[in-house]
Amino acid sequence: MLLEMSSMTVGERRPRNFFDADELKLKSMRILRARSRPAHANALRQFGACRVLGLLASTTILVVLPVPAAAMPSGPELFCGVYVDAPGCAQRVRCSLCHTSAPARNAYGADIAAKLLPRHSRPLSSAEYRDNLEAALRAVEALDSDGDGDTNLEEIEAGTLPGDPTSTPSAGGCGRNNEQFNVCDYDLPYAYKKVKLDFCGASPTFEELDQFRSLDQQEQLARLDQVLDGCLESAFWRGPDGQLWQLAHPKIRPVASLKDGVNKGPIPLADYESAYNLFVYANTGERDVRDVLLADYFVERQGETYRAVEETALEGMQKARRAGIITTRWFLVINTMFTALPRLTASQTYRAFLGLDIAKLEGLYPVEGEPVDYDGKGVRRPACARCHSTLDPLSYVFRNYNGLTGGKPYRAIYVPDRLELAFQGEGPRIGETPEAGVIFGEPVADLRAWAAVAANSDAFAEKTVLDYWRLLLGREPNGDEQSEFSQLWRDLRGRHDYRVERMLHDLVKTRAYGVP
Amino acid sequence: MVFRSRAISAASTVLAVVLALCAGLCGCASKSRRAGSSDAAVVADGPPFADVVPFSASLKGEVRFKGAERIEADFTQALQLKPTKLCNELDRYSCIGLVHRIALAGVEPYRLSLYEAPQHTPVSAPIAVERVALSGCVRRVDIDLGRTAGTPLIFHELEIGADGRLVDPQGDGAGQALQRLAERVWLRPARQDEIAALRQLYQSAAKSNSSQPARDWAVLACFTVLTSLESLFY
Repeated sequence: MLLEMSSMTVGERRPRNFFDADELKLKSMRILRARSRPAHANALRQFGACRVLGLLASTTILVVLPVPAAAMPSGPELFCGVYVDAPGCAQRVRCSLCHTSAPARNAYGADIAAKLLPRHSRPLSSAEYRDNLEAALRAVEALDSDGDGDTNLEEIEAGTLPGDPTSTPSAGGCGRNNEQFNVCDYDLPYAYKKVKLDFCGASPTFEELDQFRSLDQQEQLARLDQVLDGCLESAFWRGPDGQLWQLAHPKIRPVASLKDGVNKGPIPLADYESAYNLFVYANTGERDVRDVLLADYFVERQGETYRAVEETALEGMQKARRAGIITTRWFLVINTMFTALPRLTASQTYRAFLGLDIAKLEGLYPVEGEPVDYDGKGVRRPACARCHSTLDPLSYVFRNYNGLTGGKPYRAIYVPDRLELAFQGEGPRIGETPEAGVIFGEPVADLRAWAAVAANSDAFAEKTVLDYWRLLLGREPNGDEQSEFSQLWRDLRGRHDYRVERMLHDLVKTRAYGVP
Repeated sequence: MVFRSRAISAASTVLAVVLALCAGLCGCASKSRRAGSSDAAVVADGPPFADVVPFSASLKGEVRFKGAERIEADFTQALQLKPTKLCNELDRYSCIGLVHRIALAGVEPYRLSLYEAPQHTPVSAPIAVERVALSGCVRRVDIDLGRTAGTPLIFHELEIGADGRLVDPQGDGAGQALQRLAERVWLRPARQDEIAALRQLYQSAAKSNSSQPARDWAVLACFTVLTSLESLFY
């Protein structure tokens, strides 16, 4: 309760395995976020207010719409206003002080809630919450909420968690010594070792770590950046099967038996290395990561060196029609062939690059009058239409992109009348399929315009940073880390100008990464 | 194949005993850390952990398994072995690069469509890790003891008698070897309680019917450190 309002700001990412109510709340936030975007406002107006409200009502979202975060005082701030000298307040107070997985409360949070104006109806107003929280905190000081033998006040004063029975003053809090790690704050030697392991693939040696410890704090920070820069050049990070390739696997989905080019498989249809090369190129150096969706060039690799080129032997897309990885021959072969309306191509792009999985009801922006069902697949049935009213307009822009064209060597090219030429059997209306589509409620004329909207979206920046977060921390950001995560992807769009390596220098300096 | 049979031989003689001791070491160390108690924790039949004092524990309690590539890099760095010499099944197939790659939380997108590492450590990971660690330790110890060509690194100053036993299990040679091992694997000096616990392994090795208890002890001390939580997680 202390943190549920303050930690749930619009646009922040939540873990995916939360309850249905939270799922609905998140969807409502996405819709609200979409409404807040100027670029989407026009499109949403096209639906009309009734349609938006109808959607909200139909998904029972209205009942769980969050109170705007800014309106509620910050629980941690109020807590630290009461316990000014508490060791936990020297750093940022963790959500786990009062919550298990926010908004669910732990034993301490539940005790506070029970003492906070118990006879008043919920939700409390901001003033009621702010003016009465201290009394509730004082009222539970003598309790031992988590039953670990230490009172809540003893735990607060020791810097341990009064709602977690495994965190006790006797087990050591922030106030106790730890020769190896600074467990209560950013630990530079710990971060140094992690950077070496995460980006270079090996621990430092004893001597290297010892030398690092001998530096003062400013020197250590400089050394950390220096080591990171070096590791970002390593084969472990950017080489074939390196960390960046691993980030790209779920996006590219390679199949060895279909590989063309070097080490070709028995059915060489396309070379997925072209997609990997472009991915690494855009994610390294002083290059714009949006090029994974926008590049009108290809990339060749020699060792760990990647080089942009105008043409390659195995690609053939017309320059004016290129849109990064999603128009490489491999991407079109594996996702588009041999379907008329490339829904899979659109949904895979949406999922892999924007983090929105339509199969999980994510990123739904229904378009009025859709789906038309040009290919006669029956998607207008109510059970299908809910998703297809978003998916089909997402897919139209891919209608003329063909993965295998002509005889060997095949070409992936833009064919203006692809559906008319090759898919006459897909129903009488197949030729009516428009090329213009809609993404995030915004009409777009073709795939390049579609990709531009996608690459400039919050979703793209958030997904880009999330991929790295998961790679480096092994999980999604938890409640405590939302503000750091949010700052990272906002900065990627802003002051880092979409340069991933700049963002990574910030990521390794987050508390999420560097506090043991 | 010669290497493999040696490894199996070493493992079969005293591995069970040592694993039991490892479990004791880990369990006691873990207990003393969680409890933060100054009460002396005791390894079975061993000396108390007198030096362990209460210390701050991480509120996160979060560590990550290093996984196939980092384990290979760290083991080869610590033992100064080439990756091709660390561990090969049938003397031919790389344990980490090929055979146990998935068990060690690796990915194989091209043929198996395993695009992402598992969220949790695979159930067979401990067996694979132990296989690799034991192989690497046998290699390193045999080089250090002059049984195989190479540059000595960790155990070369052990005094071993004609009967294959350590001349002085409590002597400086063993202690220095353990310190070198700790610094190379844990990246820090070993504490006295850790040195004592690792020395304790020798008693078990000496009680076995092995004709080379000093070598077995060195292999298994190396194995113990290499398979510790601090070595495998970060």
